[in-house]
Amino acid sequence: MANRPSSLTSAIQICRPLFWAGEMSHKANANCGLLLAPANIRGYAPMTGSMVYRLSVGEVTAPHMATYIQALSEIQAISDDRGYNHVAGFHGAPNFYCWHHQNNANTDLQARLFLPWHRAYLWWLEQRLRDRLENAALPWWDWTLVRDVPAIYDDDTIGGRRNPLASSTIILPTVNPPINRETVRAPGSNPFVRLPRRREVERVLAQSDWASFSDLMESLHDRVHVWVGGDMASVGTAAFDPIFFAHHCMIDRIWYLWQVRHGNGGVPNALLDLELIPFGRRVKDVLDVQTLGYEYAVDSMEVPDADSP
Amino acid sequence: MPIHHRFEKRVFGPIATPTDLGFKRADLEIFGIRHAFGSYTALVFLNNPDVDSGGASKRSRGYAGTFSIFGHGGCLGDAGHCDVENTRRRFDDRPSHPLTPGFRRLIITKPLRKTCRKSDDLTITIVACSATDENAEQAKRLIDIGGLQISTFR
Repeated sequence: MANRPSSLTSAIQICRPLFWAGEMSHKANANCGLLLAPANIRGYAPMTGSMVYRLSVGEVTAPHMATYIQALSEIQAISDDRGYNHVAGFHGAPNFYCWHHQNNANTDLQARLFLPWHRAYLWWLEQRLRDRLENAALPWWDWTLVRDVPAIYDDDTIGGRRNPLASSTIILPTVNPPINRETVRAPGSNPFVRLPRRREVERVLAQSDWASFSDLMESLHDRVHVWVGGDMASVGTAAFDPIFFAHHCMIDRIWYLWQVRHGNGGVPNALLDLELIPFGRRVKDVLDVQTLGYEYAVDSMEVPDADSP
Repeated sequence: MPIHHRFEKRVFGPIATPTDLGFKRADLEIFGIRHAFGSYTALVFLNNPDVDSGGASKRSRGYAGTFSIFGHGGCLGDAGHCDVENTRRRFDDRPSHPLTPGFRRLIITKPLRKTCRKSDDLTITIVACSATDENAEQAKRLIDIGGLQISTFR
């Protein structure tokens, strides 16, 4: 704790009780017999930041939503590879890196990479958000409780300004035909589909083997895409809708809950070294959410230093 | 967004029902699912081939489960972009084409056991519905699958 970067305040120390990215780095380097260079040596970038807690989608007044909205708004305004449009394009058009439907025709593996690939994807976006605001974290939409598009994702404006949660502009000049328009939704328009209920999630969580769990999770996931409709119902454009990430954060959280209950032993060894393109991570790199710098929490609040003025 | 609703029904079977009802779990495996076009949700019924496509629901007789398919929403590329090669080339171990046919699993233990007690024959009816932009490219078949398999486990 004594080596924690000086930019971290005691208030944050109290409200982030787990462990720190900075601490992990110090320990890792200590184990290797290396010394961390002092901050005044050229080329050394002091490690800042802590783990973030991903919390449930909340009201606009909630601090974690205000931070998220600000960071999202900023990256939506960037048109280069740091921007939202670029990251959204990893999933579907124009890159189609996403992993669905459990299949890989080019290997003998029935490679269920749906959950690992999307975990790496969320982590990548979260880093882009944290480049703008260090405490930004993805929120999760618990569709077992909030049985409609959350109000904060539905309003066209927030505080008189465009709401970045309601839509984004899809800019895809290289697809055929080119796309340049706002995302759209059609929630509840398919009469065959309802949002999953808690008992259904519990049934999936009860599966103890990876294959069954992954297959059933993907089916629940697909159902929410169909329910939201519009761009969310097409692999090619889904990630351009900002609600995509609130939905996938919920999916990732359920996987995390499954891991807490069942561990990682069921993930086949053959999957562990497969790469999650284009994130430079393998399956085994994304099994522990803490090493990716986040945790799921129900609530988190700062406790101010009683001695501060 | 103007919505186009499309309903489709397909009936599979009949096959003989399993005679050994001591299974602890039964899975309906749907393989070779093509998913290049619109997303859809499908309801599965056992021994109810006459179920009405538009009126089907979880309360309809023989209901066994639901699955959804997250479709690609049509082609966004040039000619050949969505063609899936059926052969593997030596040294090519890149991830497969995104439109490689998919797989779904439904756990149907209770409905299958109940059906087996009543009948020696089994049909499986899949009723699907999609709700897409009315201008969206449509597949020839909504339920475009390679086949079904029932597996039971002790």
